[in-house]
Amino acid sequence: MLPFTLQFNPYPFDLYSLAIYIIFPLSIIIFIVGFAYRITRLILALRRKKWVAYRAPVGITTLILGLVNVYIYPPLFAAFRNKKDLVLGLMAVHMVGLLPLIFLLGQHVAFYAYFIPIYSLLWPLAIPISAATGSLPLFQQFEPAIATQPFHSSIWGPLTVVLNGDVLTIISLVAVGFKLGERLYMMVKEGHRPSDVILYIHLTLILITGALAAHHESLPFLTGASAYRSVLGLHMILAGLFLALVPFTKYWHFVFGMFFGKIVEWIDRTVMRGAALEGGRLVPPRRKVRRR
Amino acid sequence: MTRRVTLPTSIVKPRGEEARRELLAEETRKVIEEYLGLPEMHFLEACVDCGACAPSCPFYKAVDKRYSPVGMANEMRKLYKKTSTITGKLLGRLVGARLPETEEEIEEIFDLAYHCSNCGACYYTCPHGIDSGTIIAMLRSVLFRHGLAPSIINLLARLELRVIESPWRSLQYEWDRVIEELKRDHNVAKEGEGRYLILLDIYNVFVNKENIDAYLEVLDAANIKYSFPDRPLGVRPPLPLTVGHYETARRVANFIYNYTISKGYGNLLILDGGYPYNDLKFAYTYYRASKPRELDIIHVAQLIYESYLYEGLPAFTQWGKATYIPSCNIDTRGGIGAASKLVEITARPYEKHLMWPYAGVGWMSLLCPYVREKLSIYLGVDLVLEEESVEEKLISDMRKVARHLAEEAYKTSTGYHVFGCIDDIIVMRAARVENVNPVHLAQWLKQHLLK
Ligand code: SF4
Ligand code: SF4
Repeated sequence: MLPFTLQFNPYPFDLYSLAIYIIFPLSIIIFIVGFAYRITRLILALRRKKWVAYRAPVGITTLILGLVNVYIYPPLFAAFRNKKDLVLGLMAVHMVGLLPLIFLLGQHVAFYAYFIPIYSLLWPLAIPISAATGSLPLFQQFEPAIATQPFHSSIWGPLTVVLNGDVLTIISLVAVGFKLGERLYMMVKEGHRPSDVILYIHLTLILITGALAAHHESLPFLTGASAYRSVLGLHMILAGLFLALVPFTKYWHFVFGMFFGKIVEWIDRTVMRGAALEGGRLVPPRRKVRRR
Repeated sequence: MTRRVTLPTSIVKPRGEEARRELLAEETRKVIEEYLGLPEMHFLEACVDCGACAPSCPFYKAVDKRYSPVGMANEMRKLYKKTSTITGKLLGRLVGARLPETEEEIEEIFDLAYHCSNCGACYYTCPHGIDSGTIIAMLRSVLFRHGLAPSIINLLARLELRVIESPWRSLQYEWDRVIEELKRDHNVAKEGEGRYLILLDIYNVFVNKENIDAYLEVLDAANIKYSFPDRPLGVRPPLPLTVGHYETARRVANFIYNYTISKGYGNLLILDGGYPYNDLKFAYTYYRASKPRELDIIHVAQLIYESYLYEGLPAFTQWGKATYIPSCNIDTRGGIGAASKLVEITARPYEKHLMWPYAGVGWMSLLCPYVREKLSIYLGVDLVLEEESVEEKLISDMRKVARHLAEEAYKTSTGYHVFGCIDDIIVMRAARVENVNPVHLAQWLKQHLLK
């Protein structure tokens, strides 16, 4: 007996159905279990050993400056000393690449908002699929007026000339391609772990299938519902796999690792030892002198 | 006539590659079992291999691209994954989990592990808050258990316990002579009467005496009551930590804590700009020493800063321009803001990233020959290494690092470069770096506070 929704589905066994009804729910479960597993390990590790030995006296200004510093120091340092990494790593892969694509692309917002209604709060920030459409295709059916005012529906206004799915995909593909090349070189020359190469190939495939699905109307080999469902299904299966891999791979960094890491660093350096900036430029609060 | 004593480069060398691998896995498990806490787990598991930390590492910049923080720390990650994680055990090399297979590979790891001075510069620049230095220190501990440590550092580390527990007569004699000189020139309180016990060790007293003198003069002027220990409190404690010899480090630290308390002091005052402050004050949980709650460990820069500045005295910033070079272990890891506050800074930290990485291992490589020379005199033996090449390589690489950093410092060209750590100055001299005018913080303070 097929589930209720599948009974009315003309393609119950194609890739799209597989993605929606099996892979995605499974990925979410794996993600949650994996997430819980990693957090549990961290908690157990916290209980195993004392963090640092001592808490230095720190003032509130030091605490705040220390927190700001742990976040701004790496990009500032990269801006002066590591420009390639800043441009290709931080900017192309993350800021004007994958992050807006994953979280703000109109189609993605619609998809997430369907499952998590509160996500629809991000609609004003959603970005269109291409510069040509400008407006968000998903809005068009509700507000016919915007078809003649291409940037009306987006908070990004004329910025959508750059901030759209197509351009972001191209930037991401270039950056991920570069990283893939770098990792391949490292794997062959230095015996670096192959898992990085696999992950970058995976990312590339997600980007390509996503772009194909977004432009299926204008691609002759993707006309027809079945072809479209296949490529979109493939995109979603790969994306589901991405989600499932998050807790077990380096994808972890953008969900938890990076934010947590900065908090760890802040606690370690500022809260415990009282250092705020490099070289601890702040005046430490007055110490109570022990008398014996 | 002096005797020649040949020191082996490694401690024990198990025979056979398979046996060595097994042993290494076992030792890794032990280190992980004992020292893995929450931050270490994060450091081991959350690196994304982006390489953003690399340009901050002086070894990477000045010696070879092989010595990147992530590259060196990854050697520990490989061992960790192979022995202690499920994915590593299941997927092995696919996820970078592996044990070294040949002697050459182990030697290679050894070389990498000793090209990190644990300065903490990469901690600042990692976007993910990963302290590669700590991971590489863990790797040194695994290697130590495996019988690998540079022999001269290892010898001094082992001697340290002997020095504080029962210093031999020739050493004690020489010690007493220098201490008498210091007592003659300064207002040293009688034992038990001072509020601060100064941590004096062989290195400070025999290598760094002129700066100790300067600090004491400033303390005298501020009317701070301090006393000296009646014996050297180590070579430079807790020295065994630099080679990952936690067990001895624990005994050394415990001895110092208990000694200070037993003599009736609640404050241990550290004059050293290198690792002793950080390692005795903060890092002791790594090697599980037990510092009593009633003991505080204070750095002299902090004490001077408090004594003068809180009384409204004097305007440090009007002493003329100088570049303060943060010394890794009191500033970065020790959080002593006061040291840099005592000098007007002209370098912009993000741009220059001045950090002098001689903590622990770095110091060892370049300065051990000095200490070795002194010890040879007091021991009456000529210490010869079985394989000088390991030491020679470290020393020559540290020289490259010193030259590189001096060039960076020179760019700030303020005329003076003030260092909180004598190591940096000695290292600069050893590296024959010109153009930079190094001044020790103690001399800087003496010159301006007492004029
Ligand atoms: S330690 Fe940090 S900066 Fe260095 S490679 Fe890993 S994540 Fe990147
Ligand atoms: S702690 Fe210092 S020496 Fe060690 S890897 Fe990091 S930057 Fe390099």
